[in-house]
Amino acid sequence: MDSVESQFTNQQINIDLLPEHQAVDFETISKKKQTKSFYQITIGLVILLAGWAVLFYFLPTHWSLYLALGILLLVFGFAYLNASLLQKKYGYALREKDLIYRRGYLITKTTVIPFNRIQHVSISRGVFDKALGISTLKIFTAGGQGSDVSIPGLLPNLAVNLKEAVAKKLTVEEYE
Amino acid sequence: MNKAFAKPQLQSKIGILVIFTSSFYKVLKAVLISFAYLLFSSNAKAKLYILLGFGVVGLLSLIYSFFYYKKFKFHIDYEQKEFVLQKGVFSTEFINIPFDKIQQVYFKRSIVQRIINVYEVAIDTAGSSQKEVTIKALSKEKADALRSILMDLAAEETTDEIENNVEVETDAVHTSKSKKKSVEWKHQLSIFDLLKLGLTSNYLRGIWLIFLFFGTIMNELNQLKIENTYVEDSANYLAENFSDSSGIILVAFAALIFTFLVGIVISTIEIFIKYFNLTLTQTTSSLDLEMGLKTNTRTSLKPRRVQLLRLSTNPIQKRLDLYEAEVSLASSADNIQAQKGKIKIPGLAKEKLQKIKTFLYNRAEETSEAIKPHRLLIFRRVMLSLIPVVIAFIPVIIFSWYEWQIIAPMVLIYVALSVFLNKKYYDSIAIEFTENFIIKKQGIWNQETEILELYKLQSVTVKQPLWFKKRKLYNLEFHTAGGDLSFPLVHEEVLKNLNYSFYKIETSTKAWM
Repeated sequence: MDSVESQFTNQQINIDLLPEHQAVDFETISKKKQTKSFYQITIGLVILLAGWAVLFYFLPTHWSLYLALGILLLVFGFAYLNASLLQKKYGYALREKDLIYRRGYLITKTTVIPFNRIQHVSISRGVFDKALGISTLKIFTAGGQGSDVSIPGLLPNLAVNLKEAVAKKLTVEEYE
Repeated sequence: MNKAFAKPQLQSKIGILVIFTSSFYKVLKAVLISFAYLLFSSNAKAKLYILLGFGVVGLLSLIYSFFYYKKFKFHIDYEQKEFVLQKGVFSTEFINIPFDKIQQVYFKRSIVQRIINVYEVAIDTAGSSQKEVTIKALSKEKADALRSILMDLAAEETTDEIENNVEVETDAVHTSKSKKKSVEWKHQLSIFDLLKLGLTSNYLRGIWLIFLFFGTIMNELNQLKIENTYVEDSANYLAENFSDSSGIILVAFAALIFTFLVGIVISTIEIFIKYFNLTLTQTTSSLDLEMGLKTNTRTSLKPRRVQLLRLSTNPIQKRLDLYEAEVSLASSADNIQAQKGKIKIPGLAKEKLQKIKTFLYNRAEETSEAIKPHRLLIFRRVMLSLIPVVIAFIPVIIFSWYEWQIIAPMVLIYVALSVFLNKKYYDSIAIEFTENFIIKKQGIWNQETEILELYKLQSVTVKQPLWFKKRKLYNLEFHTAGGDLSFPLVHEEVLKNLNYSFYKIETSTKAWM
């Protein structure tokens, strides 16, 4: 305990005056996350289109093949749309004592993780991440899958800085 | 070096038998199908070969068990502050568990273990990578000693305040029980209590078990290509004698009642097996629980480990003063194991329940204004309940079975019932944000109260579906190390209570585990 805390105070807490987690300004993530999603979707699309072409070449022409192509294009069209809509919703914010992460278009999820509940932090970079120069910051708590968070599309320096910032808070908490 | 368990040591000799039966049983389970084939086939030569095969497998398992026993050693390393276990016949594996990672040490006893009078000691760890570690066969004295030593070491390592465990380390072997455990109160279930519980518990589970059971049996029979004449015969019989609509309803009704009765019987049997001889003892520092007919387990609960508490009862049980407490402990992260961290204690009187609460939380009960979800919840749940009806309707329309006289009233009854039940459910659901707790209540028949102490929270997720944006409605999800607690459709204003939760977590310096 440091000296400030050892001076005993016991003020009444007015819930309305507590800092609001709803009111933070979210930082956006790099546009490259969207590019990455587009690449991934495109690869999937190319593979499936190739499969379709093979079927089209070898099988007798049938209306169900065209139906399959239609569904395929529709699904992937939706995937592209979804990726671009998602991009706007990604956001994170650091407060003094917690981290807030928002994602999801259809269902927007906002997770608040207090620093003194974080177990560990890690940075991961996949093939696409390396090619595009972005990183994913992963934050683990003891609260299971719903509680763990991974923030994609961060510039590598930023990811490292964030990781260090969070790690620092963790150690501070421990020695308090 | 007088300290107990400081040197690597083996299990009880008779433990070979336990290892043997469990490994042989595993093999047997894997080749169950061929065993069934043996029973049904008439080929004498095949029978001989299979029997011979079983003999060889048995012998091999026996040899394996012997070496497994010889290689299985454990000890407590007091200097490194960890429990060390080495095992493995072909390659040796070392498992080190630091004291502060030990969550719980408890006993299990299968029938074999009880016959030869040994105890299986299981050590539950906090890490997500390691699973629980078990020592299959120890004598009672050793098992008791090991458990109390490990629990004390773990407690010492993790708590700042020194619990009143006086020099247990040195002479724990001899006086482990009598010395430090002063029993405060005891809770025991008699046969009569178990019967009461069985008759008043949730039959749906029993019914579900029947379905599962018959499902697997039918599956096995189909695989063996055995003609199932009974089902066809009875189907024919029904088709001949009960073809008009009133007959169908009669048969369906009879089947329903029959399933219900069997459900009661199965639930009762299940409760007998699970909770036979349940004893709950509160000592100064922990709650000790012992129960089970087939596998006798013993656990010791410490308030710090408890993450979530769920209390439930139903109207009949309430009248009989039977309440159930379910405690969620911090479990290793993956969801498959989540069930394991939950401990159910049924058949508690209200006053005992109160005692458990005071023991776990050490606080007076708190209440505050109950917050209800938006009324849209009823609509949402009714809509969800209609999905199976809609799916069922697709074949009706495709194959044009327009038996409206039967279908229309059934659908109407279903919808009315759904609206009624969901309205009831809506009336029951509420959440309270008190000074130190979050309390959720729900349930029509099975009334549940979930209690979550604020500083045990790990994080909170707020979800907003796009279509509720205009109405400013959110779904809440509270994450703890013992599972999640969620609450649907609250208004934006409720979110300010979360700010208080964060304030509580972030100013708390108490260890949550």
